Amino acid sequence: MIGPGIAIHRAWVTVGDRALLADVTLQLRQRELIAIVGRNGAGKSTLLRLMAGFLEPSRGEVVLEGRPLRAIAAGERARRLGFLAPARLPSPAGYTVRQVVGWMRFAHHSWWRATGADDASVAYAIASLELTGLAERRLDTLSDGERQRVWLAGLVAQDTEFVLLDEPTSHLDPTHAIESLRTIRSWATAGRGVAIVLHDLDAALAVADRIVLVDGGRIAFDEPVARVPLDELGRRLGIRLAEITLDGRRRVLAQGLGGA
Amino acid sequence: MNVGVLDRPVAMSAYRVPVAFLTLGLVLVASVVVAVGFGRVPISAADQLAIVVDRLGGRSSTIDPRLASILLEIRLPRVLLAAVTGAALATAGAALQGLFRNPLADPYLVGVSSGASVGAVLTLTIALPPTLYAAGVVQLAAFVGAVGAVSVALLLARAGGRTSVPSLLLAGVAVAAIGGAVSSYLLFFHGERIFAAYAWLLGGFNAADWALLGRVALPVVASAVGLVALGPSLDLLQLDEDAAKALGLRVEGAKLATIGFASLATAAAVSAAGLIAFVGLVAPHVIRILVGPEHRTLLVLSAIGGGAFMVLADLVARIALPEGDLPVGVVTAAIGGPFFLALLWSRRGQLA
Amino acid sequence: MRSGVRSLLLVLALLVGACTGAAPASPSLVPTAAPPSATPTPTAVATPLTIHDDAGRSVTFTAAPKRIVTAAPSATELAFALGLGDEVVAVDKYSNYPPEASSKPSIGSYIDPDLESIVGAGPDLVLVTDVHLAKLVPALEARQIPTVVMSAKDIEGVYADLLLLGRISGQLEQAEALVDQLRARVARVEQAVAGATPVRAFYEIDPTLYTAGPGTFIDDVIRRAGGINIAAGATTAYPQLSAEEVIRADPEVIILADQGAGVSPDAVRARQGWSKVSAVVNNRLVVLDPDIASRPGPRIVDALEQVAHILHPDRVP
Repeated sequence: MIGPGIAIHRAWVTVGDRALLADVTLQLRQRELIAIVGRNGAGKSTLLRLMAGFLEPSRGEVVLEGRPLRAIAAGERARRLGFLAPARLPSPAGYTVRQVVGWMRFAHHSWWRATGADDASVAYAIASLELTGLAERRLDTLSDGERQRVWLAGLVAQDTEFVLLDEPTSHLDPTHAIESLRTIRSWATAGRGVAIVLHDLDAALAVADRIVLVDGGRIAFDEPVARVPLDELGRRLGIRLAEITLDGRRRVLAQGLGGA
Repeated sequence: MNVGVLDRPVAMSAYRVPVAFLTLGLVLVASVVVAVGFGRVPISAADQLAIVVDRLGGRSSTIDPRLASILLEIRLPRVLLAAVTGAALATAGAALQGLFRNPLADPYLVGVSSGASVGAVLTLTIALPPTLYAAGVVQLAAFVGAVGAVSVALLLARAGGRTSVPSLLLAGVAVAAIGGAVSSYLLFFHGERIFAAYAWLLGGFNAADWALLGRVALPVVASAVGLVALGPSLDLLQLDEDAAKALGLRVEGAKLATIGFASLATAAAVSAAGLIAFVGLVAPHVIRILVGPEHRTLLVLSAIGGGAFMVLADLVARIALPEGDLPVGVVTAAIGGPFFLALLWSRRGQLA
Repeated sequence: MRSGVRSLLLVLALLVGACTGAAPASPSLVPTAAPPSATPTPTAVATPLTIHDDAGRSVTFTAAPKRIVTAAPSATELAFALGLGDEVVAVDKYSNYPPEASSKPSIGSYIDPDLESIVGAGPDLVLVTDVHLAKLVPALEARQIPTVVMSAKDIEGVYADLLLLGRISGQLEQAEALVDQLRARVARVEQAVAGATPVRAFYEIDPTLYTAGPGTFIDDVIRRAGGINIAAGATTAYPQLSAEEVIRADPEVIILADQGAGVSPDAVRARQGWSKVSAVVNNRLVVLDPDIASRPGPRIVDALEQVAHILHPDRVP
């Protein structure tokens, strides 16, 4: 009944008598990228935080490879499951890029050891995001795009089977947004299981294997990109979508801007 | 390439940290040596040497035993107590600045000082039997008061198994205000005891001895070790709590341990030396400028630097005026205050 | 290993020496060349003397003290009054009476005197007050330095302190003679004011209207001088009164012991709402030297005579 990967089974998250998530079932396997879309306040971030183990379902359960997530110790969880909301992260003053990427190795060391700025995997992660020249720069002196690459390098260094990202492209210019999504897509292709919360529907269709629409705390649909019902998607988001095909993939444009 | 003014303090050369360790370590040792060398009772260099040599050799000395007693039983423990206290306050200050992500945090922030004051003032205003004072009831009460105040603040700030850092800050302010009111009340109704309480509130290392040093050093060293071990966790807490959690940090445990160790160190220091301002606030900033913000290095060097600073401040307090000691808190504030202003001035615009 | 530690300490010791070699003009207060054994032959006390001080502590003496440190102005005045000026080797920095006390080496502030300076003076008696109970007294006890607390709360208490110090120092006869003299002066004042209508008095310690209440020697002085302390009914020893309370109590005399804070009779006259107070109407605003009135030493009788003169100028010249 409950398969591999991260599986949410008939979970509810309630605060008081208000259900933030209601009867949600979702699965994230390795080697796939799912995009979670929906209106503001629909429960996307709550769903992602539930998958990360930050929230306890009030009913139902969340399992990682068959084991309840809450039964997995913080350290092991952090070695298997990465989570980041880059837009919400501060850039603490004075730390270098190498130090911050090193923090992402925290769970790989005993808790009292300094984080792994000197690890080989940190050097690899910095190199793989083309940050080598910036490694000794202070994080708070970088541009938004550079800082985004630092966070992604951190997720490389953390080296987890699953990665959860909340709005990884907000605040980014198109160049950096596309660059980030390509990196994230490459992780899934290489075997990691990736879930991202995205507002850009076209980008979601472009990079994801599956689209999950959250509406009013429920999962409205969870479909492979090829089978996404665009009319329902548009209706639930309150916009009209025009379908196009680009590089052999289904893509969408939002209608209603421009023209009469 | 974006190389500009902002990059100057950035370049962290590889030998910067070891050099800082070596330099500050030497400064501490030199401070202790100089501070033991000077005092209100002049002891000649030759006599000091003879006293130390005789004591180490276990020989009975030809030097006036009074001088030996002053050097080894009064001045030396006093200087070492200053070092331990400075180290405790600076380490606790650095840890709390990290925890609160606030450069203005100091070790007294969460109610330690007002709790300690209530304990000390209480035992000093109600006339207790002299034997209790001899047994250290004032220090004990100050310690209990400090720990109690922090516990109350923590209790108020905790809800649903989590500690909200902003709530803790507010609870600390509230507890401090209540404690201040209690102290003032006690002083108001025991005006005849005001001098004894005032002497405690001014702070200082007069009348330190080896037993007191031992009672203070034990919790301070234990807490400092604990805080240094928490260094990487404090680094992670510079991110938001979700991110730190996602990296495997047990956030709640790290917060409680930081507050616990910082408060324990501060309570021990305050119980022995009263309220000494500015060391816990300024020392971590200086160290941060020297070696950057990474907490393990920062905490260890703050301990060393804070210790040296306090030793020198106490030396100035002891010998600056011919007619008697200055309160050491006056010296630390007189040095630390302007220094802090200069620091703010030089970094204006960089503090968001 | 041990020798390693030892040589390290030796290096430290050398550094210590090097540093003090360059010592600047030191405050140099204290004769260090005189260990206790070098003092003149003590007048042997036949049997050990055990006394109880004002804090109820018991202290035992085997010989009359020859090197006395006084940690409060009142203690200094007590010692000098018994002719022990030569035995006093160091005083706190506020000790300014008698004038020769000012030339004694200082041990620092009365509030928190410097332990090193006290021990450096090599005392065989330290006179302290109850202010020192929490910190200084335990430190001195730990070093087996005889320490006696003298904290008189009234004139009788001053007599008792004088007699106690007389017993300890082998000057009992002189102490008894002095106390008899003081008693006679007090009796003269009391006789002079006997039967006179008591005068309401406000004793102002500072401009925020702190005053001396019940159980203080100032209260004792005002009563014996034929006055009524308007704060006698207060619940604490040194209460702070509101201006309303003072005006309602309508003191006939205001004694200003706060000239150090810049308070003069003119300043009191200028206070809003005080113009109808009897003391202001009748111009009975008198400045008193607070050093005399605030120290529970033998000059408390001087204070009594001055206060009696202030309250009853017709009876006490």
